Amino acid sequence: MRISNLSYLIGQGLKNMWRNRMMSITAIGVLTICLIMVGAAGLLSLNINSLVDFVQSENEMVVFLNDGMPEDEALRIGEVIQTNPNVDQIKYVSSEEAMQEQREALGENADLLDGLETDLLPAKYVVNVKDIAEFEKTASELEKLDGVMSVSAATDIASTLTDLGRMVSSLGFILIVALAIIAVVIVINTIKVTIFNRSKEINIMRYVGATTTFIHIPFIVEGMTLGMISALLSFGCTAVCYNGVLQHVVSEHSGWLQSAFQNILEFSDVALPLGIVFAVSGITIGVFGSLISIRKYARV
Amino acid sequence: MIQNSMIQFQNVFLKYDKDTMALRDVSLTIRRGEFAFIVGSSGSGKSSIIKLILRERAASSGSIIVNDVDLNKIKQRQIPKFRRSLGVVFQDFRLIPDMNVYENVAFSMRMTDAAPQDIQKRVPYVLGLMGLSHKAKKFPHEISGGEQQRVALARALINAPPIIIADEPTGNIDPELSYEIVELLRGINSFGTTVVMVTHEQELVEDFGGRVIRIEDGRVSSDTIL
Repeated sequence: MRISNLSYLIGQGLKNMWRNRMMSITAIGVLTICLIMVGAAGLLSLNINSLVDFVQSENEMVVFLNDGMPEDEALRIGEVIQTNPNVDQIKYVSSEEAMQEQREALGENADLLDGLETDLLPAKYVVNVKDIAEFEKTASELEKLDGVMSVSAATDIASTLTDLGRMVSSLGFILIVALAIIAVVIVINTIKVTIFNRSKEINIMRYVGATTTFIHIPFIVEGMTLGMISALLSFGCTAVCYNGVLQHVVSEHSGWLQSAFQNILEFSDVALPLGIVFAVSGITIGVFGSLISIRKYARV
Repeated sequence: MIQNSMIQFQNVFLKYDKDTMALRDVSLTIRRGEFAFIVGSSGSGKSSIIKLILRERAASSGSIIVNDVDLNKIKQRQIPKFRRSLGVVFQDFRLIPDMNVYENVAFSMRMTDAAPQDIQKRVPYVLGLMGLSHKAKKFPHEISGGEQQRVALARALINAPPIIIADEPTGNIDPELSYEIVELLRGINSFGTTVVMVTHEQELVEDFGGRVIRIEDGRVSSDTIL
């Protein structure tokens, strides 16, 4: 086919879209929402994985000792902890030092702690492990030691995040499939309206010897364009919303959470793959909808 | 196959369903360069003959050869190319309402993958032949019925087909314009194009004369030269 004829057919497809603009806007709207959901679920999943990695990379646990434990007893427990094969380094933090840490963490609000006893907080050991894979096992072994009140390990956070990630993936998948089906149905109906509006023209085309490809190309162009516009819109919306949320999350939190949120992906890190996913999904849904509609309503 | 034939029907039957027999044992030959009227009352089967020539339907039995193409053997994907060898004019003009006169005619050339410069050269020429040069930018609803039929004729002619099929081309226009359309078809025929015109207007046929094939109850009842 000549380039001039191809550009004529592409022009016809775009004209169809304009003539049928109310349906086109509806199709673009639904398709855009569908793609934004795809993007949101994907970004959430990626960030949860990134946070899980961060939490796990902090191969540190805190072993709290029983209240009021004398220092020599605490040092003896330290020696026992050190005998665990997976323990790398330990650091003792006395009750007083723990209180001082708390004061520093509170910053301007440190005066809230004024008047409290200096040994209110339990003494603790900050323990680094050698093998992260043995992290949970080591935590449970240390928890069983005499004189140990509890062990605080980020394994809980990591497993909660992993569960959350799984939930987001499953719910997101169901939602995306449902929305994709709705989007395809809307595209089918949009193209159907165009086919009905152009049935006279299609009939004439058949009599003057138009090939099936020649008759079908404008409808495929229409579906493809609906998909491309939706992909662009959803990419823009996702970029704006994601950057907004990211700024809010990072600026509103401090301490450990802030350093955890530093691991949230920048939009620029995911822009290219996300753009490709949006473009491919949008165009696929658009073309797929067109082809179904053509097969059903424009048999020539 | 009869030598020099453009359209040849041999013992053709066309059945729409088990109770409706549209054509019964039709045999006829229209030679290259001939002008033939096919006449008959409404429901006589003359439109069925057109449907078979355009390969809109396949014969239930018998053989049909048009422009050396055996329509019993033609494959579905070959039909568009075959149809480009026919110029067709309908009673209801069948122009595309949102295309202007020029585009309606050019449209038919695009189907043949014609080069843009050929389209730009040929369309004004054919519109000139039909006396429509000044109407090129008008839309179908802005011109008269006679002019619309001339646009349809220009579209049928644009690819210089060897056959023109005109199905009741004068059915929707004033009687005086009908003569103009038949004159144009005669003119086209004089350049060697085979023309088959279906009509029920007896007076028109008698005035112009020539070969007249009469269809009655799905059969060729007479085939005469007036």
